[in-house]
Amino acid sequence: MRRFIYLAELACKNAARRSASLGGVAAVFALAVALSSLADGAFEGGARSVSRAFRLRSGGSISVQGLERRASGGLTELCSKRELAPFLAKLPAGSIVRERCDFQARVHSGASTATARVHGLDSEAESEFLSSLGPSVREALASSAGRGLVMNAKAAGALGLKAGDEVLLEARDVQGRVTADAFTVAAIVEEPPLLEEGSVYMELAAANRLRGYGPDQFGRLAVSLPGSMDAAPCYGLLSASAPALPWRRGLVANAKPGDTAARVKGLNWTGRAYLFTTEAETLVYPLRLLDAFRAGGSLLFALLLAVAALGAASSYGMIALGREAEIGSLRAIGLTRGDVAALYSLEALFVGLASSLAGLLLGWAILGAAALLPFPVSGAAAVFFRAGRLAPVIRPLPDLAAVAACSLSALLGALFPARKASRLSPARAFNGSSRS
Amino acid sequence: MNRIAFFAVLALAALSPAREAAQAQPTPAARSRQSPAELLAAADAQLRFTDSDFSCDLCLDTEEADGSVSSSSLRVMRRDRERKVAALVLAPESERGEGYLRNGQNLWFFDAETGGYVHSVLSDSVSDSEMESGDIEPDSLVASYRVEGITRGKLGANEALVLELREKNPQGYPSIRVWLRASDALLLKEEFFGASSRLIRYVLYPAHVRLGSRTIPSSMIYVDALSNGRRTKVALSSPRFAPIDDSVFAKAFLEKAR
Repeated sequence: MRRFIYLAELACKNAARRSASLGGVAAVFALAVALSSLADGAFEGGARSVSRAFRLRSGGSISVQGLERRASGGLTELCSKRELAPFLAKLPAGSIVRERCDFQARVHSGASTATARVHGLDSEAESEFLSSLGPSVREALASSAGRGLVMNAKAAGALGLKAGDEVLLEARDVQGRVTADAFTVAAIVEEPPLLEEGSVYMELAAANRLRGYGPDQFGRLAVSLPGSMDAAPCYGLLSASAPALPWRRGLVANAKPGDTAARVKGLNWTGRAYLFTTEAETLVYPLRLLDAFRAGGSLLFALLLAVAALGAASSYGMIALGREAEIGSLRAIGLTRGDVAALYSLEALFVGLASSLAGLLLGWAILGAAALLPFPVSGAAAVFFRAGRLAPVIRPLPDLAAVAACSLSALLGALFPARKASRLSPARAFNGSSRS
Repeated sequence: MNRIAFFAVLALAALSPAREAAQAQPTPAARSRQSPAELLAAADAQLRFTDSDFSCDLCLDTEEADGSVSSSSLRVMRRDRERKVAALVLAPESERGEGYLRNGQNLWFFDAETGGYVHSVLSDSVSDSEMESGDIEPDSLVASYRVEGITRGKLGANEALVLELREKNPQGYPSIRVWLRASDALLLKEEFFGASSRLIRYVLYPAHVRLGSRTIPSSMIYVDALSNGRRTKVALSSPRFAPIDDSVFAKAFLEKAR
């Protein structure tokens, strides 16, 4: 043990002394870890921003939708408060339940027409979401006495609309009948198209009127579970709370949020069903995009590690050539071949560890600075940011794993030169022979 | 005497077509005495033909608000008693070979470019016009609506009977107002109201053609009441009441016609 401590001390001193000659290798290790921590923090932050934005848009992390297959094959979206009462009674304490109403509609303005996805929501209960759309959006909607619309900038642009203009909304009620009503554009907002495009927000009562719901009926139930409770395990518990209801699960891959028709396409049933979906199931597309970036980042990290390991092998090979006298001395004072190999390996390990820790600190510093800077993002990318700023997350475990991977790759890179150095005989080393 | 006989014969000859017409079409007085159900059936008979297959060409001219016009034409084959329709797009060249196939409540759009079928809905527009797929072979007014009231009105120069129709069971348009010429119950106009009682669209029937014992609209103007200024004029030509082969109402026909 004492021998190992002596070797470790010696290796540490050597590593510090030769840091200049190993600068290039150390820089690549530091860069790899800095990039890894930066990418992990940014992507994790992006994923949480997407998740938060989606939760606000959908009203919660669990969605319950009543569906009825009509004789013609079409779907009627209809929830019954009476039917869902046992389900609501079993929700965990602290759950927030919101009624929503989502449907497709045509917006007419003069001779122009555009298709939009309409979301009816209770502006009183969903002030956080409305505020997230933009300043004074909630106030504008509230002051329009149920006749106001919040429009996506794309849809408004297609129709040449500005706030205060009147539009006609044409939709179909739950029985497939055409229905139309006049509304005023209360506000126009930017909306990340990755979550949804061309959406319109309006008061729940007005949306329910267009859909022809009765007083006991509504379109969709959005549930926010308390704290960090996961939505998926709740399914069994909640569906068991109302076993008489015809619960259904199952989603079509890549279904966009709110696209009920696509979500239930693969389901085969007749009559009534309650579709239970979780955030993770409907948020597939933006998260897959992030996963693709993450995979690219991991590949880049692996490439940098391989380059650094090769650099370490080459540098230590060169260093070993210049340290023959030192090796001879060490061998002469009683160090075995194994000790020499261990000394070289430990030196490399220390260089890898020190440089990757420096890289980690650099990565965290950049992440911290990035969180303070405003990013001029718009369109699809906006969904990965929070109010135009990156919301990075520092996760110690993946970062420490990157440090460990760097140190290990430095160790692996130095193994072959260390083995060669250990084979150098003391006599030849003193004689200045370069080969054993 | 001979002169009197000559004028008598001449007068009889002059009156005979009028007498035939009078036999074919009830008199205005008789029309106004018809029951609401009979008037509705008379309107229905001008749009739906359950006793014979029917084919025609439709030329659609859609006028935008800015005055620009886009045109397309279709060859339509209908078997209303079985709710079957096959329609082939003849023009414009970019859409030639596309088609529609209806069987009951199922409607498919045939995409000539991909050779595939897309399940469509009856409210989808035909060739981006104001005409809906369901208008190619309209639903039976008698089967879907009941007359809630009749009033007298004037449409242009025509004295008209205005039928207020209400759905019997859920329909795309819960209420329709139908304008019939008071003298002969010719269909002049239909106004379609949504569940919110707002006028959604209307169809004008400015010209008609007589084919044997039937009178059918030869020109229709579809107007979207929610979008100011957009309208589609449809001209019907080459109408024919004759049996159509069963093979026409099959997917293979549209594929072959491509």
